[in-house]
Amino acid sequence: MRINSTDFILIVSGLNDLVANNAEQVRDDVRSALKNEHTTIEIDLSETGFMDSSGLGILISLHKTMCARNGQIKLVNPSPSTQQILELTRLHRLFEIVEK
Amino acid sequence: MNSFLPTVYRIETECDLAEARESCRKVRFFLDQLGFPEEESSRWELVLVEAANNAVKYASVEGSRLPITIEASCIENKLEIRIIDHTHGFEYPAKASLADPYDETGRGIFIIQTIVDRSEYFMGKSSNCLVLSKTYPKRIRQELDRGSEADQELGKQLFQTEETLAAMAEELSSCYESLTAIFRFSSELNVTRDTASFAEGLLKHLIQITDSDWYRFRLYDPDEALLIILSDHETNSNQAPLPFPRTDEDDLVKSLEIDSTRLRQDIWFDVDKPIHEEDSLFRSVREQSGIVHPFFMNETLIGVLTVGKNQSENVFTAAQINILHTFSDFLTIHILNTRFQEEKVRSHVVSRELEIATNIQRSLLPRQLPELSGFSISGSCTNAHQVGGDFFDMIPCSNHSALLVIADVMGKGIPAALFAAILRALIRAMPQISDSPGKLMSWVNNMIFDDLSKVEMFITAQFVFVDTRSNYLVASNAGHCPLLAACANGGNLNRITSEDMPLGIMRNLEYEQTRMELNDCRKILLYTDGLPEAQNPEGEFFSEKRLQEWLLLPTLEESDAMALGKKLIETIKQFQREAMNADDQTFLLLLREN
Repeated sequence: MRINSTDFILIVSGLNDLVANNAEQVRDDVRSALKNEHTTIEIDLSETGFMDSSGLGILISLHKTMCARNGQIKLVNPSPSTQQILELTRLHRLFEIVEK
Repeated sequence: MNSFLPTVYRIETECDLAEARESCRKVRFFLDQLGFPEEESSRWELVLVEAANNAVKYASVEGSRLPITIEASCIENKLEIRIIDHTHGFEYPAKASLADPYDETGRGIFIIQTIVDRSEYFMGKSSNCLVLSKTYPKRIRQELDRGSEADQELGKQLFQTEETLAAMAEELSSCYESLTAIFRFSSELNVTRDTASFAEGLLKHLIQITDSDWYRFRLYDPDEALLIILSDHETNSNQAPLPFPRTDEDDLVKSLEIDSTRLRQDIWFDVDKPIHEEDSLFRSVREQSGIVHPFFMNETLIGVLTVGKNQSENVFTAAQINILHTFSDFLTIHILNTRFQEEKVRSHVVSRELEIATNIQRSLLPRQLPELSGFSISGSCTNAHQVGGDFFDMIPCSNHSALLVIADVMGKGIPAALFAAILRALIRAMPQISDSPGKLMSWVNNMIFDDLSKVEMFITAQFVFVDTRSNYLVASNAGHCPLLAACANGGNLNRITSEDMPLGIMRNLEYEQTRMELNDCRKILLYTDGLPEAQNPEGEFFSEKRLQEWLLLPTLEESDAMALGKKLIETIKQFQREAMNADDQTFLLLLREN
């Protein structure tokens, strides 16, 4: 997993799997990289081959974190399988999904 | 050259999220090789990961040391996957709802149920089984070229799979056995067979199939509030019925069987949770384990089945519990069927008995009353129910004298009808003493006493000898209603009664005889208590007083006893209005001719 940062955006990429056994670690790493100036988290899901409901859970958790500070979260280029689970659980309506 | 790929895959994984994830990946690989489209394999991978994550997250302390098993089998166009976990189990929803968008958890079962066609969760004691399946419109491709890259890996898996197949075949055969047993017993349902032997046959199969050592099956008797042993694998065990406590507070009885029926749920016992020494299920073998399963039809308790094993490590699997539940459902249906049939036969017997009794009783009543010079006579017997114990008779002694009899046998049905028949025969056996009703009554009482007292029945009766030429009557009364005699219009009313006891109460009784000169006596009435005790809807009795008043009413010159009898019936009916007869109404009425 890679975490890069611009002035206002925290960019998370290189996530292979977002599943129960790594989800909490990902959330903790992202939260610790998050600075006050960050108004957006962009999570690049293009390399994410697999995501389960625990992975969804941490996306929701980060979404709530950002909402609390008037920020936002964007899911970038979700892979077909992550797109599938987002649609299955209707969460594609909750997140802003961006194709770049 | 083509080779057939195995269509069954089984893998055991440690109770660890990362290990479980890796195993799910392998199962997905197996599906890819079977020819599942990429998207479908990916969906199943998601399903498996969700199920396996739950199995890891909620494993019990002991369960976390045991492996989680995933079995996938693909037959024709159906894929079935089983995940066996060692959690405490949970209430599996028939249809999970989607979590609130802001909830971070609670989507696993929704995802599973959205993707698969069918999902069921079977809870066992130490393991539970989630069975997931999906049927596809086309047969899944099962053949691959031998030269494919995956072939070598699959070859390795073949060995493992053969073992898996053997295990699954064993399980299948156990299912097959249970099915066979059920079908066999289904076909025997039409054969007359008592419930106990039926249950015994079925339960012997059950302990064989579930690898158990013993069973006990108790049936609930709601009338006696007892749990009665219907079938027990061990004939030398304590076979006493278990009294079912009337109140919840009454927990003096140490019994898992009672507890399970009260809680309406299965109760397990083993070395850690042993059977109490006072419990009738207690046995000296220490390493006991088993299950107590109560069964109900709707809300009604039917019985309780206990199945046990003599080795504690031989625990029940989810599949075995499933079979046990199926068997008890089947047994419940059979028991209820039998009960309904018995009820049907019983009601048929009762109605047949009543029919016979009615025929006997009808045959006892004289079709035509003999003539008695100077009087017209009518008799009537109206039964309150199908058959009663009332009867009347008239035995001519000469053309101017006769013995009148009216009696009420206390009881119903065939016994009452038979005693009426015996009484009739006895009276007719002694024509030489017909003119001494007291003497006849004593003799009849002695003859019939033994039989009546055996069945705790008795008869009230009135014997009246009438001689119209000498113009007198002699009456004897065994606990029966009085004789009423009304003189000519506006005249007096005579009432003959006695304190003597009914027939069948005491032996060697002497019955009083009362002689009455008929003089200008116009009407004589012998009756049973159904007449004065006829009630109107307000609960008021017709009473002897009204009967007397009616008897004293002026009678038209042209009337005969038949017309007068009809009038009496009518009068009582008018009094009763729509109220039903509570008792039989029987009378003998004599009217002096003009």
